[in-house]
Amino acid sequence: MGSLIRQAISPQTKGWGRGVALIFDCMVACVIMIIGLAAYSSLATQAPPEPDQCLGDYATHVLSFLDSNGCLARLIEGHDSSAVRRAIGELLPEGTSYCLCVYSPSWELNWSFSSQGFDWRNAAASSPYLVSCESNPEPYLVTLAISE
Amino acid sequence: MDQAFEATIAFAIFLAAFSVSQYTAVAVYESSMDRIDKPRLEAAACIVASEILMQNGNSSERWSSWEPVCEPGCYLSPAPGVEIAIRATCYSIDPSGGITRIWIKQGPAMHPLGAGAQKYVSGIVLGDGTFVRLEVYASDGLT
Repeated sequence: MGSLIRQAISPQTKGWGRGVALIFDCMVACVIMIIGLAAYSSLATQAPPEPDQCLGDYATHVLSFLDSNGCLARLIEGHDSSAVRRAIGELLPEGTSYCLCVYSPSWELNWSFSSQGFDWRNAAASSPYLVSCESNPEPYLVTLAISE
Repeated sequence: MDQAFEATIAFAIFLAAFSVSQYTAVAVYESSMDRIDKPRLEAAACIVASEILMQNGNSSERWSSWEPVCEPGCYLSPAPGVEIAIRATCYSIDPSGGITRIWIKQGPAMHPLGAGAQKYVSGIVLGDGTFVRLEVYASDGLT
């Protein structure tokens, strides 16, 4: 096949020696192999990293801690995003970003905010966390997603 | 003259193709090795973190007196040749939502473990209302 290609694409090489022709055939085979390997390597390295499940469990622990003395409810009720940002930012490991979402009991998004660099594609989220507020008889559903 | 020119051209083409194929093969090999090593290191970090959490539980006294030991053998880790680094941080929260760091403890080998290190993070709310974040890094020591 390599010989046919060589004859088809470069008629001026008819006068070259057999050794060069064999090397040219090998080159065609190598190029085909390289293209295949490069495609495989590209697909393997371009795949987004899988979310780290331990971060999802950790996010649940963070919400549980913030809710332990009613702080989470007060922060959500007061829509005090800067305080929530400070608290969550302090508790998360270095190099991570987060997104906090607050939903109504019917899963309508009330409000949310993300830190810089947050990426849903490699984020792990906590289990939905129920937060009760004094002013609202219905509890909020809160999720915290963390990405690296 | 023509044969020498042919040989030079052929050798140059061969050298270029051979270099590219070797480079690609090495990249594919490294990528495959990373995918094989990652679950092993993640499992080692998870085992170490779980055992530390089991040893100390939610007792603030145990966590206060605990010191990290970075020998994987101390934590029943089945992965030989794995380097471990541990960092635990304790936080408290005031009624206004302010977070205060109470203490931080880290293993003696808390140097950067390289790009291949895998991290396992866990947290626990202690009995006195404080919170401990536990980070365990595992590396095969080659990177």
